[in-house]
Amino acid sequence: MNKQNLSAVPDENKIEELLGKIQPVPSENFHQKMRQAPWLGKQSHPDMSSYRFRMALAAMVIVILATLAATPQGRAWAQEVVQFFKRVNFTSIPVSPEEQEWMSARGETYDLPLVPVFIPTPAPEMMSLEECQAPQNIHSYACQVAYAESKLGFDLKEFPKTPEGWIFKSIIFDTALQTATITYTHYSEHGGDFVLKQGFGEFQNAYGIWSLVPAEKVETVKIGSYTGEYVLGGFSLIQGDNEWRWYSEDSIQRLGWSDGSRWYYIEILPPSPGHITRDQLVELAASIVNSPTEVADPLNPDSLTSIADAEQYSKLDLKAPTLLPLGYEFSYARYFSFNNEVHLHYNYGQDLVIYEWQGNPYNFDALSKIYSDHEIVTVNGEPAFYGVPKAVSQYESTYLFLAWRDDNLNYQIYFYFDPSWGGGLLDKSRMITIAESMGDINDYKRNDLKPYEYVGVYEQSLGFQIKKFPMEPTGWSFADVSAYTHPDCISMSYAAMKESGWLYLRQCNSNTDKYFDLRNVPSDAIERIKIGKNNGQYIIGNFDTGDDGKTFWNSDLLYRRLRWQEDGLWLELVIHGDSALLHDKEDMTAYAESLQ
Amino acid sequence: MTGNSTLRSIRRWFSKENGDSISKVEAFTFLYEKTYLMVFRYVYGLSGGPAQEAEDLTAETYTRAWKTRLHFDGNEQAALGWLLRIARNLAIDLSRRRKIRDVDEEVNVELLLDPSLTPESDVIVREQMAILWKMLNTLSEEVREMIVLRYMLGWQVKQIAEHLEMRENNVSVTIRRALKSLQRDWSQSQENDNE
Repeated sequence: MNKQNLSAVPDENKIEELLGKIQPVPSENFHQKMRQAPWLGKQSHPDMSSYRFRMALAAMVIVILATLAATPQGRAWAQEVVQFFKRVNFTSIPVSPEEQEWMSARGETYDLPLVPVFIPTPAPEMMSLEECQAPQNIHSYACQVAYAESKLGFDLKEFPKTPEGWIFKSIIFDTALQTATITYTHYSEHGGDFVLKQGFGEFQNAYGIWSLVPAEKVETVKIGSYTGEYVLGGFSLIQGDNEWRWYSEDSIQRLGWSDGSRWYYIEILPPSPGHITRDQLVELAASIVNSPTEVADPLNPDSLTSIADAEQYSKLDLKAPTLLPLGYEFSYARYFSFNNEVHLHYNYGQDLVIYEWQGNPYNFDALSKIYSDHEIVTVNGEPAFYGVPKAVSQYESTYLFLAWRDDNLNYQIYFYFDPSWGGGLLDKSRMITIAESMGDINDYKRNDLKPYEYVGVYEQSLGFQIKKFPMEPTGWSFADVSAYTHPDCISMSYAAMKESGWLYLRQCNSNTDKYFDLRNVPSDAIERIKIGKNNGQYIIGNFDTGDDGKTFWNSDLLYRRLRWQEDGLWLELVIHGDSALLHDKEDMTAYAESLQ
Repeated sequence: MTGNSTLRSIRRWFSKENGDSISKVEAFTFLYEKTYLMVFRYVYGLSGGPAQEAEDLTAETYTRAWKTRLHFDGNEQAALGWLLRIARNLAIDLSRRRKIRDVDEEVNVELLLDPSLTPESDVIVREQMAILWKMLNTLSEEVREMIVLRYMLGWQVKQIAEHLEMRENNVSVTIRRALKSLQRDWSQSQENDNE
């Protein structure tokens, strides 16, 4: 349009008429997404997705650790055909003092250390598989299935294609138990897991309160020609409540069945979206096959699983951080066509998001009007803008913001947090450090399990050395390492190679015994022993959930643990599962004393 | 369906005497079906888009509403207001972030129109709509919200005043002033667009 074509200035009435004509409607893509909205699936209890709830659940899982494999009553359930849920005759469970303590001990904030991004070299046995040729393919569904099948020695039953609205997340398998768990996550920012478990022998699933279902809530259904059990709902604990209550309407869906030799179990965990009704879930369950019709993970601009894929979409030369806050990993990238813009998401949800696009240089004056608390800083020697936004509302979670420009690309980092929930925080200097670490790396979504090399990465980041086995203990195979802070701990796990069982070694560099609290363990369950020159405790059993839903100490559970202090570290060595039957106090002491 | 009949329908569904509540899946689904277009237009209008992100934030609005529905303790009329208040925070945040991205977007008029209505074929009207859409960015968040509620959602001044907890007269005067300022700045905006 040129000046000759300038239209007449409309009067106020015309402007009103024009405004009335602005009637946008959402695209079909929106409707498709909303068909999988949370309330349609009746899964998510309002508070179940909250940080507090998750923390409480995590604490329960950590402390109770009462897997079905290890419980005598669990074995009894599995012997009855199609008894996937432990039936009870109540719909509420009083909150135990331990649970109340876990629930109330939230809300603290602490600094998050930065950890180098470690992109592991794929194992040769994995790379030899046709489906796993390139490193970024390692997390692909096809590669993970092929790898799991090669280790398990049997064909996994799979959905014919990825359930609509879900993205493949991971496969976890156990060669001793002959079980595999395929997990999908939803690509909305609120996540949610869709889990398909399968295995031979005894059903391996339930633990604690999650295993309990009011008898009248268990529905018998037909999955093809097989009989199964379906449950809608679960016990959940609302913040401030003093009872776990059964919520049928909008909690999880679970479905278990057996084909005579193999059992299957589907669980949709909150806050999963759920366009799926019971009948649709049953239909989906009946559709599982040996060979899916769609094995490739099609590129989805809303959920790209590697930087390389995002570059392919955007044609931009993207950079990604080589330093990230502890616990943060590349989750997915999202491509926006309107501005040829890419968002890199680290962790699911609004945690740490990096925007990259080609555009005009920033106008810092304009930025300063939006960010009440701001400062001009430098990133790699160039001016950058750091700010905390003006609050839109007191109820909103807030974020930190850093904007800078490099090589004709604009970058922004948003770090979202809600101080009322507590948790790890970043500050200005660490935001800048992350920005300055941006490099040409092809980060990609990886399996949840970390290779042994991460031990060194975590030691460096947390600033302390842990004790290690001089060589992998006989009969055990390294499985995973994880780290957390506040207090700083590194945990390693080893899987038993012959029997079903695990060995955990947790070490914390802390002045506090926060995670080694024995107050609630009966004194007669604790035996005082010597580990080398150090005093320690030997404990058999663990917390369990009774038929009444209450937590109690169960010395019959297949758990053995040592706890001791040495060289400024708190250490805990745990063996559980069938391995606990094969290893006694002397074995465990020998393991502990072999640590260097 | 007009705003008022929508509210009547929601009232019926949220009637606590009937044992229904917003926590019910059916009631929430009904609320969504009756309000999503209003919420989307509100988010789009208040933020300025882009449409893809306005859709995301509309979805996010309902997700947040679903999660906190047990904390909602209002009558039926408050339900839509409650949704818009959730959406407001998200939309303003998007608007602010969009401004700092300094994106010189071409306005796609097609995205501003309801495809189910008679297509707007008048070239001049389409140009004017594009100019007007860009000019809305120059309004303050508060004024823009009133314009969006009044024209994109078709609310009466009284409804807007109740929702924003303002006097009707203030709302009316503010909207009039906004229209005048849009008219006053029109030529300048048009010229800027041509440069």
